[in-house]
Amino acid sequence: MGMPAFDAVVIGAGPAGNAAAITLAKGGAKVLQVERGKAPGEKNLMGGVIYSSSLSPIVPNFWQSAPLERPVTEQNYWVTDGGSVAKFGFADSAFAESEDGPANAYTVLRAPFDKWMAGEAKKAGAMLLPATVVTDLLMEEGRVVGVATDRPNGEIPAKIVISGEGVNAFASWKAGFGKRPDPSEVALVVKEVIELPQGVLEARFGVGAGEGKTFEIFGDITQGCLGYAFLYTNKNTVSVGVGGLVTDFADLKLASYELLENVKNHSVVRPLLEGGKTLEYGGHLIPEGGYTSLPPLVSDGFLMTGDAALMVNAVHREGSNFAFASGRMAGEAALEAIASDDLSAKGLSGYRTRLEDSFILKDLKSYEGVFPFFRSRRDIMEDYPAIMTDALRSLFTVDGTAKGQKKKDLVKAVFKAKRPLALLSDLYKMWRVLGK
Amino acid sequence: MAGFRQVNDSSTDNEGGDAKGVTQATTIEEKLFTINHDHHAETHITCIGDDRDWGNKAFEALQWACPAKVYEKGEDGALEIGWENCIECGTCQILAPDHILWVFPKGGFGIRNAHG
Ligand SMILES: Cc1cc2nc3c(=O)[nH]c(=O)nc-3n(C[C@H](O)[C@H](O)[C@H](O)COP(=O)(O)OP(=O)(O)OC[C@H]3O[C@@H](n4cnc5c(N)ncnc54)[C@H](O)[C@@H]3O)c2cc1C
Ligand code: SF4
Repeated sequence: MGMPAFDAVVIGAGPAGNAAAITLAKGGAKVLQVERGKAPGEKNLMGGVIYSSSLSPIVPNFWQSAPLERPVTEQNYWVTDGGSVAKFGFADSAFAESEDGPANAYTVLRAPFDKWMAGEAKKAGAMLLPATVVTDLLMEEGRVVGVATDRPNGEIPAKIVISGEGVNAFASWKAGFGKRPDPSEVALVVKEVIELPQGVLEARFGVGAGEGKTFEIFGDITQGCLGYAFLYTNKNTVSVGVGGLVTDFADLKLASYELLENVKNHSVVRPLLEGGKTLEYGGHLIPEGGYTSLPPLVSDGFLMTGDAALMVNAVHREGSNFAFASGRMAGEAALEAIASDDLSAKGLSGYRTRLEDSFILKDLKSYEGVFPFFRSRRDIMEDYPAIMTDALRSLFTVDGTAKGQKKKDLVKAVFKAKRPLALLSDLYKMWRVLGK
Repeated sequence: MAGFRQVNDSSTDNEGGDAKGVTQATTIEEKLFTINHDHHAETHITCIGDDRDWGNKAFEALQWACPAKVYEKGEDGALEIGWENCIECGTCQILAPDHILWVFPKGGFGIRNAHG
């Protein structure tokens, strides 16, 4: 094989692949991006909220041209149990967009968003090969030297390959980098995009033109699935969805689309969606294996980024920010390797260093125990919503009982539901896994 | 659970006066109808081995887990794969890799999300 025509081939035009391609192209490298969709974004779907801090370093002033839906100015967490719902929310004027800068976070729809971001890569000089599946990695003496595709004569040599394949990283797995995750470590999320007249949406959700809200709903609304339901306001649509572990749906004999329908018709959700029109249904996986299951991130001639590398913080609905940041870091490290003409894992080790110095590996490491904990203690997600709503109901019910007596009854009721030691131990463990 | 209404309950249609109830795209068939596809002539989902007997526990798990109702019991009592409905999530190859071979549709074919 002669000199490869491309410095780098990037697999995928999602957040990670686009971030890598933009960084490489801006750094002067010859980049080819391969995407299986006819256009970037057509295969993709998320809630979804993106975070400015991760996108700004890749596309400065992105908020002036990206197809953003609404700034997230208020975040809400609801817990349902039977006919009760406990609501917590946080709004901050600092979350809004201002003249000098973007909002903290925005809701987006991935089909238009990914198309826009891939367009930024093209503007920077990257080439895009759409409608093409990467079927395998080309290997030479243990080094990755390009990709094989489903096009006739579709082998494409490259100095460096960056995987931004997402959760179904078939090409990487086939070549021995990472592996198919266990079904108990993957969540399936289904969602609908529901259209409402903009005025109706803004009145119902109590948002102005430059404002938006997110709602994550925990408790019995998931009908026993380890996950949550969500509602995100877009310009004139609402994203509504719900997820659980892949194994939950099989074990509970509950179809995800029926769970979604029940969420849409739940008494706390239905009034918000009434009269809406479903524009699109879809489903997608989230890899939740986290730190303990990470694939090799740096190999000879090869880097893994984003969901393909299991870089997700499921507890905080973060994934796109890990994808943006890891894609950018992979691009930067690849530029260094190309400049020093060392394409080995050693030459590419700047990727690992950057990940370690950033929130990516720090967060993944500190949340290491969270997921296994909730998986092994499902009762926590089932019992505590009931304990909380019972306590709040008692507190808010005016029935002639003296407040002092109420507090005593409340403590009694809580301890009846959970023995004091079990309660203390649960609180301690939750603090340990979440409070690091 | 008191918070829930029955799926398919259309008794409150037209409540609120602004349009029909949130009953649009209620069934999975209606939901799937909202998705754009460009189908390739050939399936991208195959059964590993010839055993399509519905008694296979893996098939029942797929029936519940697939978000597009692709895996169903056919009239002859054997597994039927409605691959045209696939929304390309990958759940089946994670759940039943020994029974189902699921690959990406050929480049450019399959679902084409307009929103995502
Ligand atoms: C329902 C849902 C809600 C979510 N909500 C949020 C949220 O609110 N905020 C947040 O930050 N994160 C959220 N996430 C997570 C987030 O979507 C992901 O972490 C993020 O999309 C990962 O980006 P990626 O580029 O690594 O992978 P992807 O977005 O999956 O992109 C992969 C790309 O590669 C292409 N591709 C894959 N394999 C090949 C191949 N072999 N050949 C060619 N092309 C290929 C795909 O078509 C796709 O374009 C959510 C996820 C889901 C499922
Ligand atoms: S990929 Fe998803 S939608 Fe398609 S058949 Fe498998 S489980 Fe069903």
